[in-house]
Amino acid sequence: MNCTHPKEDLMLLFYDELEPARRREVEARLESCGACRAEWASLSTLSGRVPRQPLIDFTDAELEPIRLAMADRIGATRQPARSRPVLFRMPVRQIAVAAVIAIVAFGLGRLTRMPERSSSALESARVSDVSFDSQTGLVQVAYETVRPATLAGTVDDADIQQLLGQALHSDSSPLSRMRAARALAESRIRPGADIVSALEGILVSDPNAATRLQALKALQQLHEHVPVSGSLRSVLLDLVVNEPNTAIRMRALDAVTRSELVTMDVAHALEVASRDQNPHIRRQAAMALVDMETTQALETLN
Amino acid sequence: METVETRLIRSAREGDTRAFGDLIRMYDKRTLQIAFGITGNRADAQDAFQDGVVKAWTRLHAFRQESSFGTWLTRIVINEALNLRKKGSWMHQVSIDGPDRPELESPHGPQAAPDTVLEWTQVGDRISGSLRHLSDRERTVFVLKHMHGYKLREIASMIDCAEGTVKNYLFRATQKMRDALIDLDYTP
Repeated sequence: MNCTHPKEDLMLLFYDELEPARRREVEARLESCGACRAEWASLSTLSGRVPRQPLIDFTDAELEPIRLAMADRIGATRQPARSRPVLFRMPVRQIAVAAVIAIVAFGLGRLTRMPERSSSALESARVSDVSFDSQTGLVQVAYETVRPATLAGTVDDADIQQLLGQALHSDSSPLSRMRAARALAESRIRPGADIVSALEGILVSDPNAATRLQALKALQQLHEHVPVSGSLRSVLLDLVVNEPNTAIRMRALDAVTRSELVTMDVAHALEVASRDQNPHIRRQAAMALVDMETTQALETLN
Repeated sequence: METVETRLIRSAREGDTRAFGDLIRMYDKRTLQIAFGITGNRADAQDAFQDGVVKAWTRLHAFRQESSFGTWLTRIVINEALNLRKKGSWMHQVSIDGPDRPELESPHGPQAAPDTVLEWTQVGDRISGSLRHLSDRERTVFVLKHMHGYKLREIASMIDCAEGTVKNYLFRATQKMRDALIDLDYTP
């Protein structure tokens, strides 16, 4: 069975997370696709094997001593006094950031040319192949909607970006995912939020290390001059600690140490990295730890 | 109209420890269960829960009520549980999959009947053992979704991730759990 349907949809159906229209589509697909039915049956057995309920129960008799201990701790802990009245605790920084984003988005929207092709048709496109020429920056994407087609252009083309996004989500073609990520990594443009999210997704779950590496490069390029988001930061720290591929760990560590956000999370990741099997990572982490301790010491002195 | 929860939050912010206790009581069982799912043992779950509750008490003035108090508290306790696991792996350097890992506790409590414990050891241990093969974040997402039925957007808010990232963690976790438990007897 040569099924190219995205398996993630079945998981979302299993966990009742699909919109009604999408749900109907996936249910119809289950009727017609044997491989999807087999995948669905396999998912269904998971509920039988892992009950859909907490692993453990706490009875009232067990909870009561915990509650008493809590009451003691709370009674002994003072709440800090409020520094400012509620009225003046406006999220000024968030509002400022939102305003800047809105202005930049407005500007980009004006600069980006209108797509010449029907973007709605591309939404249902299934990408079969991606090629990328790093000399010219030209991307060529083969895809199917009703019939096969090929679209060539550069990454700043909105339709190309949309197809690259589809390619990143493609379950069936690891090579297309990798090339799409590479095209984005080598371009100097900032793609839409969907693509950024897809790149983060690849970083978290793609089984192919080369694809994960290209996705990381693309995300690093995107964040060269802008702060790393909280979500990407979590992913990067996770990579430093858990990623099996050395090149990816190295890059993730590099991205983390370049970020100005120094927290306990970073300290933990650096500690782990300072014991990494790779000497370069160990050295990089040790230097970052020293930097961090020096910064903290200076802050204490100030 | 002011809800019970809002009234309790207001009183707790004014320093009323009893109101705060009542507020916590509304969520303590579920929060402890989630902490257990992440840490894998009662002692750590209780530590994470208690540290989380103290943190919630000292930061109550910063709670902006953009989510429910339960979601906010769960988020804090999850962070504590994850930090505890990190500290544990620093301090002990013991593989959680290794033979020297602490004995898994029975979900039925220390006083459970021997046959219940035996049953859990055979089946539940396999499940908990499989959970240990997930990364901390995969396990957290799997516990919140599969065992507690939270929506993906709620989980995203609890672990401070994009919803798409949560989907990816969940996808990877379900694949790993399925593979790990493939030979476990199952009768639909």
